[in-house]
Amino acid sequence: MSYTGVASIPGAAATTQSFTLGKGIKVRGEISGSENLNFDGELEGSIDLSGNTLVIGPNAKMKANVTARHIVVHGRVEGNMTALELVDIRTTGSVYGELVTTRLNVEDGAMIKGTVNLRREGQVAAQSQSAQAAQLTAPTAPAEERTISPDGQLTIGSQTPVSIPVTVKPNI
Amino acid sequence: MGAVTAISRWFGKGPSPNENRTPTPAAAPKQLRRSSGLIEFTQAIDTPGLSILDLGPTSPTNIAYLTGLGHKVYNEDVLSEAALPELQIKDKEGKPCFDLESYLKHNLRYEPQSINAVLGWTVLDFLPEPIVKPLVERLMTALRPGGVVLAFFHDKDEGPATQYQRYQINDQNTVEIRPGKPFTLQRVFNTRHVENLFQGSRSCKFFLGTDNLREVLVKR
Repeated sequence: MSYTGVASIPGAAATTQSFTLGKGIKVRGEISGSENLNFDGELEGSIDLSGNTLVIGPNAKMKANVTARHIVVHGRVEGNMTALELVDIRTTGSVYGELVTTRLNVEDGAMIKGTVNLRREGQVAAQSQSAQAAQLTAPTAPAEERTISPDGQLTIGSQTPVSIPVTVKPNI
Repeated sequence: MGAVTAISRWFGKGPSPNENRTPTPAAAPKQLRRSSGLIEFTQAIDTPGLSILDLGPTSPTNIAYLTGLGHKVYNEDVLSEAALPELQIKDKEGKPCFDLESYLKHNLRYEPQSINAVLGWTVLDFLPEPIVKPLVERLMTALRPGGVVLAFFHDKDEGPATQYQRYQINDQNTVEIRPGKPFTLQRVFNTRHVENLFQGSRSCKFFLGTDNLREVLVKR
């Protein structure tokens, strides 16, 4: 199944429920909304879930700029990623592009080809509202706390990373 | 609890209900290496807000260390990118060759004078021959005046013992060494080779280690 265009996911406010687009879904366009999203398909375009959580599943292939409060990456993303709170790149995840966030969690085995830019939450919010992701030259604020677990998992920030289960629907 | 397990316990064999968990293996001790080059490198980047390029595999440890100093981190695993099958092509005579044009189109694309420091590790020892010179030229173009490159070079080829390793910054004095992908050592640079490679730089400072590695800090 493929969809081209602009899709808004309805929802009065950020909720703990998730909307799922499984691996059989191909989207060319813009996805925005006020709900959490599990995405495991193919996307060319952009995703804007500024107040919510985006989980990019292990089968996902994205060529997109992504903005969300929390972003968990199990699949492949080519594009810029802005998270107001946390980017969590798991072992199978790969990101090609610029990462701007206040907190970053990277598992051993994850791949980043691009830039990592840690900023204060207010600075990230201001940037996510700008029209384009320009090159950032201002000094980066150091994060509060960094821990490396014995298996090589990095957590930057005082809170533990959010663990969001991935829901994958069968092919449509 | 299954019947077999219960019966085994009666006869003193088998685990008790509280011993079902697999013991967690103790974490392997870190293999640390003191690095004189790293000491000078970290002194050179002690001002926050710099742009640091790491040419090794994505390392959570290095990202944590460098962002903790207030820097922006660029990560590009140049060796893994060079190993992609689609870059192994054939020339006009049908001989296998490396698609340098395609590699440079997708890698190491930085604005001139946009990078303050580069962590090269042992990458130059393992890169395919066609990439070495163009890579160094791009690095030197991308480096700001006064910018530094830290690179490690093997003193000799010890065959299978010369393995590609990952280097993670443990602190400002030491790196942790971890096994890397099974890349093959392509060449051994002597001092003259290294100086020629980085000709045009302001200085090339060598640090000899007690192991097989020679460290070089190049300043643009």
